[in-house]
Amino acid sequence: MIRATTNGVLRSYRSNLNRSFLALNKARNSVLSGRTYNSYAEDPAAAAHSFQLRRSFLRTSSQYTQSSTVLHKFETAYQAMDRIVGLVDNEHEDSSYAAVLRGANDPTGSGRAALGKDILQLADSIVQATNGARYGNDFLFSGADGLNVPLEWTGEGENRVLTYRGIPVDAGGPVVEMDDAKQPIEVNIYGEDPATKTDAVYYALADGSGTISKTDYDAAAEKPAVKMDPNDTTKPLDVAADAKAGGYYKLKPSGKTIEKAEYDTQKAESDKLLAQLKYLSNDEAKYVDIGLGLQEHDNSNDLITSSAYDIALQATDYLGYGVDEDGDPKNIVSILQRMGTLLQNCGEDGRWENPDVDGEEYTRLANKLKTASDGLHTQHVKLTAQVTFLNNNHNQLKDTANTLNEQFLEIDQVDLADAITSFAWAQYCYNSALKMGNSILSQSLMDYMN
Amino acid sequence: MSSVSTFGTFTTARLGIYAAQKGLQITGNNISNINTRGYTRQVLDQISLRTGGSDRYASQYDVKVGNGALPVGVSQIRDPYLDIRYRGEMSSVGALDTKLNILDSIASILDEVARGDDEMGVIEAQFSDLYKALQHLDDSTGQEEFDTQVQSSAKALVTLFNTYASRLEKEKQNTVKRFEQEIETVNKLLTNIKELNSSIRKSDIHGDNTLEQRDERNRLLDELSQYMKIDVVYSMEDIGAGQMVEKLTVKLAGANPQPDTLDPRTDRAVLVDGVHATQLVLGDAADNYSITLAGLTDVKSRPMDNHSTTRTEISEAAFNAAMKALQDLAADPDKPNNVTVDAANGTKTVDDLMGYTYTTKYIKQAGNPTKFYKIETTHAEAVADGIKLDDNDIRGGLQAYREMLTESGEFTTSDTIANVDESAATKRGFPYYQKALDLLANQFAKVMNEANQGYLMNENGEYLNAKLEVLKDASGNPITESNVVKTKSQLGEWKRLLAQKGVKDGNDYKLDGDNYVDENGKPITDSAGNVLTKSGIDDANKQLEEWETALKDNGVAMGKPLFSNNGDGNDTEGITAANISISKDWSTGAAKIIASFVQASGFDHIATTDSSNITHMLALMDKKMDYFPTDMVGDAANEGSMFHGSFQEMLTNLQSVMANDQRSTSIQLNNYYTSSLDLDTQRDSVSSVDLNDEAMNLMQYQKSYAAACRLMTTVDEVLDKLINSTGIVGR
Repeated sequence: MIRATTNGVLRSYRSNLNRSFLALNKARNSVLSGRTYNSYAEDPAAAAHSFQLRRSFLRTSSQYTQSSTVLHKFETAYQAMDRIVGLVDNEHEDSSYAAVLRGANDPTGSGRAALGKDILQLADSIVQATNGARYGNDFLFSGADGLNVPLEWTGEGENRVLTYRGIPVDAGGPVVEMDDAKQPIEVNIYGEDPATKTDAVYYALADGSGTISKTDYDAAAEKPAVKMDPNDTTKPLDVAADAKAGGYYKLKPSGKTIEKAEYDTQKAESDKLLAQLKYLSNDEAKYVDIGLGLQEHDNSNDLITSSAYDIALQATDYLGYGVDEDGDPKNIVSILQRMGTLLQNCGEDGRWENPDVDGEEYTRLANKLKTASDGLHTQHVKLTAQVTFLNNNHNQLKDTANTLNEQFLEIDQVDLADAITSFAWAQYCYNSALKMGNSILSQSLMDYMN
Repeated sequence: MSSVSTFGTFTTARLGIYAAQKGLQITGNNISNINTRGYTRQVLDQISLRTGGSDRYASQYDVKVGNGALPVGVSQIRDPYLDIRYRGEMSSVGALDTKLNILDSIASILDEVARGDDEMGVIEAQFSDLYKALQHLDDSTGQEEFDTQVQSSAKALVTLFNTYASRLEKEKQNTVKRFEQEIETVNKLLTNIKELNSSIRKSDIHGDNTLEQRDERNRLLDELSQYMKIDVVYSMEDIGAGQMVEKLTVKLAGANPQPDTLDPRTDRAVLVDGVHATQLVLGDAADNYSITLAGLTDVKSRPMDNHSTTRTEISEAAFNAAMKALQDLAADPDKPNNVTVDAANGTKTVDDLMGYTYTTKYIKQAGNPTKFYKIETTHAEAVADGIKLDDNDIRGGLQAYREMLTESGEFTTSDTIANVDESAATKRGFPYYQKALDLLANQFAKVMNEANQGYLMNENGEYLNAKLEVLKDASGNPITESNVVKTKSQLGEWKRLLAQKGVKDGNDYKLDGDNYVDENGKPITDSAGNVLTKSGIDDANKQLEEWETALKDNGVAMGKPLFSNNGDGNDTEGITAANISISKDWSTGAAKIIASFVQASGFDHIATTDSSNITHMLALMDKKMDYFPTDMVGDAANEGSMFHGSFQEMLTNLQSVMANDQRSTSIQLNNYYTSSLDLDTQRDSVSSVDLNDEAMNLMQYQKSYAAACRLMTTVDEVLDKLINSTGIVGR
């Protein structure tokens, strides 16, 4: 520019004054809003980053709420399980285990029937404690079927059967005697191995416990009671054919025989039920997002299970299900039900109803109760670990939320000292520009002409 | 004349007084107009007057002196080159200013920075709220009130989509109105320039320099340059009788850079031709808001007779060479049909078949000496329906309006790129933001609707029939959810790969045998390293179709759409941000969110709090997915994905695109504005009134006036001496 003119100078001044005012306005807005930027366009990178952090913050906040609910659920479940553990096995004198010990060690057996009632009552208490573990409308030990009661009794009295979500918890039977290759041992109707029956004639023992060969019978000094031929009641019934025939298995623990076909039918049906129980125990899950990075596998709707938390608590995982190799129930409540029934059926004098077997069964079941109790302990410890994990995760979510909050505020919010300094500087510049404007407008040669 | 007349010097003094007076008058005019917009400072043109010619008897001792100063005119001090540069910058300023204004109006809707509760955004925060509601439902599955909470949150989300879409459309309509007003303004400017031209022409003819009118015309041209890029040409027009007057022509600068492929008349788009000017006619939305230049008319709306003739004197040799060339051309058998030659009369006529005829005539004019001329005549047919400008013919503010109203970026069709604007895919206006928002709403609705509809399956993901038996395909294999999802996903990836790397071949892509190949002829492979084959894709499609048919026929369908295109129905076709609604079934309770499709084997019901599908929905809320423009615009040129991310990331991306466009436009505008300001100041340095200058002029003319008066006094005294005091000795 070779020539500065009044209008040119004024134009420049106006433009610069406006810039200065804009800068002042921006600095003022910055102080008033407390934000480093007030629109996306002012700083797109920061805005995008801030939105990302804010989104994570909101996710973490809702995960925190979710985690809080889950934690409360597990704490409630833990308390319920604590009570159940107390009912089953502790030093408390009212516990099942103490009662069982009393039943086993009672020298006179006078209180067995009453004790049986107590044990049955304890079994009911365990069921009630399990079913009573609720959070809101949900039954905590119903797995993913939280709106339905987990444990129910079907049938009455000593025949009542405990079901979990409609499935008998003692599914898996009948259990029969097996060979070393885990194959059922085929027996005759009397429970004997047909291969051992080499004599020509056999008689059936009257108590149904087996057969005796004619040779042994004849040779016996004291003839065992045998079934007599209905056509000639003076003669023992020849059951050679039955004794040699197979087609039966020997049930455990009763020792009774069951027709092979019937066994197959019952086993298939029971295995299905057992498979359902196994599915519930091993595979059924109810996942919730508590900040573990909820995500599905690529090209699939399958959840990455480690990215969510399974909150399905199955009552059978704690109390046990199925039957063992002796044919005894694994479920604590079923064991207690059986033991209570055995005690309850004792006579007033404390004698077992079936002295030959009941005492033995009671003792065996007492050991099984110990095993089931150990399992309950293990699950209880696992639940403790879960509650601890949830607690830690909950605290971590809180920390994460705080960190995220700090991060996006750091991006969005101005350092007030810096903002006020900038404002003061902008105001200073603006004031200077105004001052300059006054002198621009007043000075020209015209003012000096005489 | 060698001697001075007695009173001649009085005239010199008088002329000096006159000149100084005129100078003061002009200075006064300059000072008065210091604040007049567009005023160009004026200066007095004066010459030194010298009367007489050569004396008959000249004396070598004689001294010739001038007769004083003579004002001959008033002129303006202006630099045309600065005008050209300034107007060039102003067209960019106009374009960017308009674009930024419109982007700001879009941002006022889409920009969620510092908005919403705790400044968490609006739609952005609502997505998070929906996620939270789904989480609650996940936790409290089977309890209806939590389904209602999800529905309420989703309703708020769709309402926000509706609001954004409606505000965008309203803003677009406002922009159309503003555009129409701007067209009106431009038309008024063109009319005013035409009228000024007419007035200046008349004044020119009468010898008036009409400087103030020229200032006003320059101001109007400056204003016009903000709306479109213009070329301003000043030429002299022969009006006969040897009189020449100035003629102003204004053309669209750089219009139609591809005359071979587009209407070539548009590169001759003339806005103002002397006393004639055009008017702009704006097309409607269906016509892409195209602009048509109406025929040129004068102030009385009479159409222009489009003849122009130039005459150039040429040498005899050039004349002879031209005549020879004409004869050769006449004899040439390959002479184009649109060329007519009359070699005898030295005439060649070329019809460009597009409304213009060019005639060249060579003439020999007898005389001493003989002169040779080349006369070129251009005749333009009257354009009854005007000239429709091509997409990129017009620049400046008007073009910015057009682009912001029509450009759809990634949603641009192949046809538009091929026939309208090859760079259309990178320009984003209202249609882009509207369609991108539509795509987000559509994708969200589609994904959530798909998630809420399915078929009953067992715990292994095998679909079941009504008898709870596993459904099997023709090969006897169970139909599983994982296979169906995997196949769909695979087909999606292949489609994307073909769109990105394939070479279009009709409706398909280029094949080498059975393999799809890229532009280098190499087979295209997917992420698993498999070569994309036609048979593979056909088989996958066939398989998927078979499964879907089996499921439709025998599967146990569950769930209904959650979102529809109308709150009064359940139609999911064509969901956009404007119409996305909660489906009637969901809002009336006939449909619920399906918590799970899994009924485990042996059970008679789906577990009451199994929420595997809600967890799936939660995962979908954060799942990164592709967004295909073809979902909204079937024939979009970009068949690939325009973005890969979650719903909220897509929303952020939409805002980022807008914000970056705003930012870059703002920076460019600032640059151009600063340049234009500099240029304007430079123009001021040349043309503007400066008080110091004028003060100097005042003093200068005052002094010269005083000096001329003193001269007169001196001459008077001298003559007084001569007349009254000379020759009286001894009296």
